[in-house]
Amino acid sequence: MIEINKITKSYGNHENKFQILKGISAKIGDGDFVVILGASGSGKSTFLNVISGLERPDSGSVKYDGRDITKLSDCDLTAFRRKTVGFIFQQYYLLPDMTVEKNVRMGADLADNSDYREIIKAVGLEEKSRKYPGELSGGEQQRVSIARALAKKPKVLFLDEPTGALDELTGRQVLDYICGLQKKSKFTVVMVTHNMNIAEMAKTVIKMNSGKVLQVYTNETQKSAYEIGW
Amino acid sequence: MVVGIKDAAKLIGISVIICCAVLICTMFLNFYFDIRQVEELVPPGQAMIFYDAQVSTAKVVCFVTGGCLLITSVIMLFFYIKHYIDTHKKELGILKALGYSNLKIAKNFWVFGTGVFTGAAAGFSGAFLLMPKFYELQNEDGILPEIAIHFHLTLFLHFVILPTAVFAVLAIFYAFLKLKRPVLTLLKDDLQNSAKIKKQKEDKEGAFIDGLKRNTLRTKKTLVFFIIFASFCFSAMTQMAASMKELASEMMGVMILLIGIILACTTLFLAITTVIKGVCLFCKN
Repeated sequence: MIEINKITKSYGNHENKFQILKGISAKIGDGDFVVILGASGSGKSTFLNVISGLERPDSGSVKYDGRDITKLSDCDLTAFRRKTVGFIFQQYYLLPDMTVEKNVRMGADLADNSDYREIIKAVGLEEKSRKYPGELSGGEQQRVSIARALAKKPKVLFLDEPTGALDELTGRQVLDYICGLQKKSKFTVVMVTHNMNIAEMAKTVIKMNSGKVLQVYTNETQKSAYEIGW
Repeated sequence: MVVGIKDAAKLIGISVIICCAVLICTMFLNFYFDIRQVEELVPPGQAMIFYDAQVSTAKVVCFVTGGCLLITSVIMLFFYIKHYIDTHKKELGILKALGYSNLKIAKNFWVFGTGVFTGAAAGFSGAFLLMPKFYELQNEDGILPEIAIHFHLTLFLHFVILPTAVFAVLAIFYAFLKLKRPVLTLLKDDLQNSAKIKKQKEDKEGAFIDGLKRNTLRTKKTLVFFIIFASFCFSAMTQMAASMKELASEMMGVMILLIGIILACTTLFLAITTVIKGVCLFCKN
């Protein structure tokens, strides 16, 4: 269970201070598929960064099974990210001078996972395992990013606009794959998007605007990646 | 990992400077150890005065040349590491986001010690190739008894092994300090650099050259310091070379002058490539 309690976050200093998050509270259950929905500038990516341990809030707490990660030292926070969370970004953030296999292995080594080749096979990139990111399409790069995140065996997977740089077909394929994995492995998924259609795939939707939570609701049925609009 | 041997190959500047430093220091200190062994055979009078002069010269040249070039190398190493981290921010940020600790990432910077080893080994070997001619020139007039060349293991340990180990440790330590930044600062330049970019845009409203000058000085303080220090070393070496030519031998004078020129050229090359990269970034923004 992830408990988020009144977190605030600002950027800039003195006269140019701008408050991005304005006292947000929420709860995310284990194994839940949560979408954080909001327009550009609503603070959803900052919210994701704070609850995943990439950034520290100015105030408030973020607790994972009762453990407040905002109070952890830098070392402990790094260890938390290593053991508990996985990330998939819109820009993929692959290591450009490493092959597909080595990129996935960078994640697998953190979890002493020797089955990383199986994960590369599962994302359909077995034949391209010796290629470099620059030689892959956007969809393939995103799949490498997914494989690297999953190779860490995370308890929570955070995704920041994972289909933002992809075309419709590839985007649906990526979302379908993530959903399938989530149902199979039962890890928690927290995805940020501005696309209301994608929110229909989630169990819980947290709607944000101007740094505040407007609404939290549950979808009665979760649509598949090929049933949603785009 | 992100840091590899190919990155250490870019430390050619440090290798060259370390090579020059070890070459000079090895020659003079080896001579110092060997000449001390014939001290008892030196007759009193003019020969002893000449002997004392040779011993003092060996120590002073070694300390001055070695000291200047060592400090230059350390500053250069820090500069290269900082430059490397700045140009590979995203990759290092990815590693941190994944969960790699600062120490685990910093440990890979040991490879920068291999550049030092290459230069030191080359300098040490080169010194022994030049040693016979050097000894001959130092005792050209035959005032002192014949001085035999001996290999001193302590010099190899202090001038090759020790600098390699020290520079590797320094590289790890400095990288560890520089990696102590928030993950998102490394991953995404936008937030932290927005203030800098805003200032750069304000500069663009003025003359381009003025903006470029201010930008270069503002963002390259380490480089500016390095150039000033290297210029100081070059001046000192040239001055010493002129004195050596008159008071010692022409060969030493030429060697010291060559080292000064190599130091100046290496610094100029480093400065030009860094400034050009900065110009490209300035124009892009």
